[in-house]
Amino acid sequence: MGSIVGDDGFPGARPDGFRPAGWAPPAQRLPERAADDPYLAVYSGLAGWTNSAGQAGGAQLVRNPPPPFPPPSEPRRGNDRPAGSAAPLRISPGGMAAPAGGTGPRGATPPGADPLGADPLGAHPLGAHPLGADPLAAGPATPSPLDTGSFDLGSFDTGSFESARSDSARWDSARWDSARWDSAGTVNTGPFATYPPSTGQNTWTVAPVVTDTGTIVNTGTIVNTGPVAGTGPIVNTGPIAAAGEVAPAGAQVAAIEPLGPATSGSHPVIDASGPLPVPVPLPVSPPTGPLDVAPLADLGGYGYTPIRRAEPGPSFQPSVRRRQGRTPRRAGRSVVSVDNNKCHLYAICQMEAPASFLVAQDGRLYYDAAPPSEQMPSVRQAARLCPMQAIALRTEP
Amino acid sequence: MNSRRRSPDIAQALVRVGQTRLEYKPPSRRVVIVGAGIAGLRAAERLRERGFDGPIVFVGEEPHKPYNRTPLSKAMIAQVGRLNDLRLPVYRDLDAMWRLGTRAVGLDVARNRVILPRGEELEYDGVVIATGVESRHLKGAPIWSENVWALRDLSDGRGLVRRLADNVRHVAIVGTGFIGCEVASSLRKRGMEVSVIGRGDALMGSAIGAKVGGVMTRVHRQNHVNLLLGRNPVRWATADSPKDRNRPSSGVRIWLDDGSRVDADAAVVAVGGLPTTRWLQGSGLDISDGVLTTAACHAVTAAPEGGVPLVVPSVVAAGDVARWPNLRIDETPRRVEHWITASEHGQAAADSLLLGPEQAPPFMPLPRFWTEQFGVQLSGVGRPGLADACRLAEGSPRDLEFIACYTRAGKVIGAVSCNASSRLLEYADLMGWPLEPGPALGAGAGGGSAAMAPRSLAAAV
Ligand SMILES: Cc1cc2nc3c(=O)[nH]c(=O)nc-3n(C[C@H](O)[C@H](O)[C@H](O)COP(=O)(O)OP(=O)(O)OC[C@H]3O[C@@H](n4cnc5c(N)ncnc54)[C@H](O)[C@@H]3O)c2cc1C
Ligand code: SF4
Repeated sequence: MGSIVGDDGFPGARPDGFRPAGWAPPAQRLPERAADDPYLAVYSGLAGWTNSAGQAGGAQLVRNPPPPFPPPSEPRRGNDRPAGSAAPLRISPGGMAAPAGGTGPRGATPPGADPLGADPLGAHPLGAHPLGADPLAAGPATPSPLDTGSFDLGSFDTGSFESARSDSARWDSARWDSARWDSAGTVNTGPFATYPPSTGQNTWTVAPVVTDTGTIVNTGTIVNTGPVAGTGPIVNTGPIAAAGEVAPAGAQVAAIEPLGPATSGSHPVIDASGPLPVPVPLPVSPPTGPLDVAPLADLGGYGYTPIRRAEPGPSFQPSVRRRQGRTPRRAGRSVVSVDNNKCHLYAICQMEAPASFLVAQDGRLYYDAAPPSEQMPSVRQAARLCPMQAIALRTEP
Repeated sequence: MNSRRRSPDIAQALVRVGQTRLEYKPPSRRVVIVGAGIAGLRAAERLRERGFDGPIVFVGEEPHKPYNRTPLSKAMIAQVGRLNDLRLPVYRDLDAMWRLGTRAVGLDVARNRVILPRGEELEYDGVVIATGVESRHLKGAPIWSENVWALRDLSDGRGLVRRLADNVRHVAIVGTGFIGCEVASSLRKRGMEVSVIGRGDALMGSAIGAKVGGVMTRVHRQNHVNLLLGRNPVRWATADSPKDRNRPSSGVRIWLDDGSRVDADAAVVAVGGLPTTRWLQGSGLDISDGVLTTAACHAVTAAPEGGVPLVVPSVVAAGDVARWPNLRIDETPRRVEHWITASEHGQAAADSLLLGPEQAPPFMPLPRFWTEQFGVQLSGVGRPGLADACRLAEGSPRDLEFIACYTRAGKVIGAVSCNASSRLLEYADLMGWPLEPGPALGAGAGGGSAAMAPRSLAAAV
C-alpha cells in the first residue's frame, strides 16, 4: 500500500537505489537530530531513533538513548495552554472577548476553521496524532451505499411537510448540502476555554479503592502525568482566578497578539523555556496488552508504510478434488479506520472491542486496522456506539 | 464423470422436498417499528442480523430516516461539521419499508394492529415501540414564536440555526441539563452572549450531582456564560407576541421570579423530555412515565382493578420511551435517556421479540453517556444521578482532570470522568462493589478527610 521511503526521503525507493534524474532530497525533511526538535521527533514516532547514517528517522533504525526530554509536567491532555503563557485575546463580533487558549482534545477544530483557534498542543502540525494516522482518510469521501456500512438518510431535502415550524424556517438546501455549517457571520469559530492558571505543580491524589475482599484495586501509577504524590494534600491551593469582567473592547485590541498559523514551524504559544508538555515517547516494542497484533497503527508521519497484520497466504489451495462450480464468494476483509479529527478518545470502542482498540496512557488511540473476522461483530458494535461516529469500516473486495 | 450426475429419482425427490418446504414454510411475520430513531434502527438491524426475513415496517413521524441526534446541540449549533455527519452506519441490508412522515395514532394490542392516520391499520406480529421523548413544554413559554426554540429533532435544529444566523447576539437558555449546557458551550464558541436560566444551583446537577456539576458551573462561568441559577422564568414576551405592552422590539424578554429580566435575541428552552406515549393511550399498556416493560423489554399492561399486570409478548419497547428495571442497578423501572443505551436497548428489544418472554435474557446495560462543553470532556458510566455520595477517586478537579466515583448506600453506582475517559474503564468494573471510605468530595469542610477534599471544589460551588 504505502510506498517505501528511502533514506533520502525518496518515496518508492527500490532495492537497487534507483533515483530519477533530477531528484534531490527535500530540504530538511527532519531536523538533524531528533533531540533538536522533540516535538517533531515524538510526534513522528521517531524519537530516539536515528538511521545508520546518523540522521534522524529513516529506514534503517538504530536505537539511541532517548533524548533528554523535559519531564512532562501537565497531566492534562491538551486542553490547556502550558503554564504561564499569555493568553492572546480575540475579538468576536458580539463584543465578548475570550482568551484564545486551549480547546478540546485534538482535532476539535475543523480543517477550515480559524487556525488561531487550533490547539497548539492537541492539534499537531503534522496532522492529528500520526500514530493513529488514517491510511484510508485520503480515500474518496463520496457517500457509500448501504453494504459498505453507511446509511442513506433519505429525504433531507424534500421535507417540506416537516412541521409547521419548518414552513416558516424553510431551509436552503443548496447551501446546507454543500456548505459547512460555518456561516459568514461567525468569526469566533475556534473553540476556546479558559481554565485557572496552573503553576505546573500538579498533585494527583490517588484514593486507594478497596473492594470487599480487601484487595486494593486502584492504586496504579498514573503514567505520563507527572509526579503522583500518593495521598498527600493538594499543593496547589492558590485562589482560583475569578471570571473577571469582560474588558472593554479597547483594552482587548491592545492585547491582541499576532499569531502565526499553527502549522508554521514553531508553535506560537509554547514557551520553550518552560517545561514542555511532551508526551511520553511511544513504546516501540508492541505492548503486551490485549492486542494481538504487532504495532497496531502506522509508525511515523512521513511517507509512512502502514504496519499491518501480515497478509495471510491464500487459504484456499486449488486441488484436483475441488468442488465443481463457481468458487464460493468469500466475504472481503474489513478495514477499520478512525477519523482522528472526530475521535475524542471517549474509549467506548475499547469497552466494546478491547481486542481491537486501545486508548493508551499516552492519550492516543491504537487500533487494529484489519481485525480478524471473529472480532468483527465487536468492532462493528464499537463503530455503532462510538459517540463521535469516528470509526469507519470498509470492506475490501 | 457420470458419478457426479444425479440419478433422475434423486432429482425428483429433491424437487419434492423443495415443494414441501415451500408449502410448509412458516408464514412470514411482520415487525412494525414505531419511531424511526436510533433505537428503532438498531432493532431492525439486529432483527436482520438474527436472520429474521419477514417484512420490517418503520413508522416514523419525522420525514427522515434515523439520524444521529446528538450533534444537534454540539456540532450543528456550533456550526462545525456537515449534515452528512448525522448519518448512522448500518451493517446489514435492512430491506425495510419506510412509512416516514407518518405518525402512529394508536396501538390495538388485542388485534395486533398499529393505527395510522386516516383510519389505516397496520397488522403486525411484533411491534417495537421506540418513539423516544419529546421536549417538555415549559409553562408559559411562547414556543410558537420565531425567537423561542426547543431542541429535539432536525427541524428544530435547522430552525434554530437559521434564527441564530439572523444577527443574534444574545441567547437565553432555559434549563441546565446536558442539552442546555451543550448549547451554551456551542453558542459561546460562536462568540454569542449566553445567559443560562436554571432552577438548580449547579449545572447538570440532577444527572451528575452537585459536586461535579459545580466544577462544570465553574467552567461555564469562566467562559463568560451568564449564569442565572436558582431562578425560574415567570413571564415571557416576544417581538412577535400578538399583544403585549411590554413587548420587546426584537427578540424575547423573560421575567424571572426574583424580579429580574433577561432581554435576549432568541431563547432556547431545554427543560428535559417527556416520553412520547400519548399515542398509546387506550392501548391498555402501562404508560405512566414511559412504556413500562419487563427487564427483558416486553411491554406490560396496566394492572386492571384487582388484577395483575400482563406481559405482552408481541410488544417490546426500547430507547428513551421505555421504563424498565436495569437489574444491574436495582429493580425499580426507570427511563434512561442516553444515546448509547438507546442503541443497545434497540438491539436487546429485537432479541427479546424473537426469543419471547420466557427465554429472553434481562437487558442489563451499563448506562454510558458523554458530553463536551468548552473543551471539557465528561463521560460517565452507571447512574450518578441516583447516588447519595460522591467521592473524588483520582485526579484533581482544579486541573479539570479527575474521576469522581458515586456511591449509593456504600456501593458504587456510577462514575464520571472529566478529561480522563480512558481511566474510566476501571471504574466501570467497580459497579456494585462497596467502596471503602475515601475522601468525600467536599463533604465535611474539616476533619480528617479534608486533606483530600480539594478546596477548589468547595470554592467552585
Ligand atoms: C440535542 C440532543 C443532544 C443529545 N446529546 C446526547 C449526548 O451527548 N449523549 C447521549 O448519551 N445522549 C444524547 N441525547 C439523547 C439521545 O439522542 C437519545 O437518548 C436517543 O436519541 C434516544 O433514541 P430513541 O430512538 O429512543 O428516540 P429518538 O431518537 O427520539 O427517536 C424517536 C423517533 O420516534 C418518532 N416518533 C415519536 N412519536 C411517534 C409516533 N407517534 N409515531 C411515529 N413516530 C413517532 C420521533 O419523531 C423520533 O424520530 C441527545 C438528545 C438531543 C435531542
Ligand atoms: S469510541 Fe470513538 S471517539 Fe471514543 S475513542 Fe473510540 S473512536 Fe474515539
